[in-house]
Amino acid sequence: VDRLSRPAAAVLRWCARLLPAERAEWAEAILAEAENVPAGCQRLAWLGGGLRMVSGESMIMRKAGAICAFAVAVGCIASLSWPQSAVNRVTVANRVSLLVTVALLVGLWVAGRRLVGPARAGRAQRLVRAGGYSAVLALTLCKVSVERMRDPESLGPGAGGLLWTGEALFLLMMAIFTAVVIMATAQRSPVTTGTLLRGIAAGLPIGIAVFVFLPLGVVRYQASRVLPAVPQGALGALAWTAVLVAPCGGRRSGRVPVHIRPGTAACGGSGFRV
Amino acid sequence: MASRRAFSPQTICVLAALCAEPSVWRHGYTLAKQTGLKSGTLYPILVRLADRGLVEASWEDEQVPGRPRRHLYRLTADGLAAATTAAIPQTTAAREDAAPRGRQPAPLAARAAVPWTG
Repeated sequence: VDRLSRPAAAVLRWCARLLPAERAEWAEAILAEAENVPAGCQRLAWLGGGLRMVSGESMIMRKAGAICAFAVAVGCIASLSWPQSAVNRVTVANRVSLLVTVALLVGLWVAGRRLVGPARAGRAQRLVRAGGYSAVLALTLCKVSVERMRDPESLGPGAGGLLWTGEALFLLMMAIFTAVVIMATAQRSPVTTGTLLRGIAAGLPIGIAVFVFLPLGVVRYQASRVLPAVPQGALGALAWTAVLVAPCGGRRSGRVPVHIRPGTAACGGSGFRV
Repeated sequence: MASRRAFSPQTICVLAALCAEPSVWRHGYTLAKQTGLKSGTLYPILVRLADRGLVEASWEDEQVPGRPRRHLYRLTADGLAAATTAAIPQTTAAREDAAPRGRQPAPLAARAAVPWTG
């Protein structure tokens, strides 16, 4: 059994790299202490406990779960983007859109880690980041599933440029949204947890209002059955006013704009994008 | 100061072991033997206690030839206060809760003499 202690120590030493810098010395402590544990089963069990500590402290299971969820979501979208039927212009645009979206999400995550650090450990930050990524993937899924049903003949001969311009704008907004989410939730971000929560609380209702009442919102497609008595134009104007005025209104109180601007911009922009 | 409810039975056991001689630096293996906890349980507890400023950790000053320097632990002033209020009244119950199933919990002082069995 003692022969296994050396490889177990090597595995623990390697796994310690998964720990954040401030936790690394604890794995070293277990390794150093192992020299004083009687050789054999006891030392092996001691090192096994060290591996358990590393897996818990590095949150490796949570990270693996997040990676699996991301892979499953991308797989679902890919299965829609690569249909068995004949390829047309919309299909090609969907495929390019998916590939660029995945590259953006991964690339911005890697760049964010280098520039502003990894995600902060707080629950709010984790939720916002997971929610942001989920929103981008869900929106891509909705777009692909709607557009794959579109008749390519209806696009007309000159619609190709418009199609690709729309895709580029869509991807640009995705990139901005993702970058804001990553920067707001990173370790070196100046945005505190309170700021993040207040920004969401301020921006979410406005985002929903923009989504519902804007010219491209769902109410227009409901033929006024949802809120027949409400003048939709007025509500749309009100939603836009809220998006535009909220930062200005906050400026008067000094602290508020910092709280309201990120949430308003992100949620209002999301509603508009949808 | 941390409330008594914030500590698990295993944490109370660790606090009690450290509280026995608060000024003495302890090794991880010694604490494991005293508390009967495995390294995978003991070290996360020490990490949390250190994060909360209840335990201070340090490396040995002197390098002993043939083996790496060991990590040492002892209670801070806050940790001593927390241990005094939380650990001592709970020590008996904590030992019972933290003891592995099927084994009779040994008294804390007696455990120091019992080799750690992993």
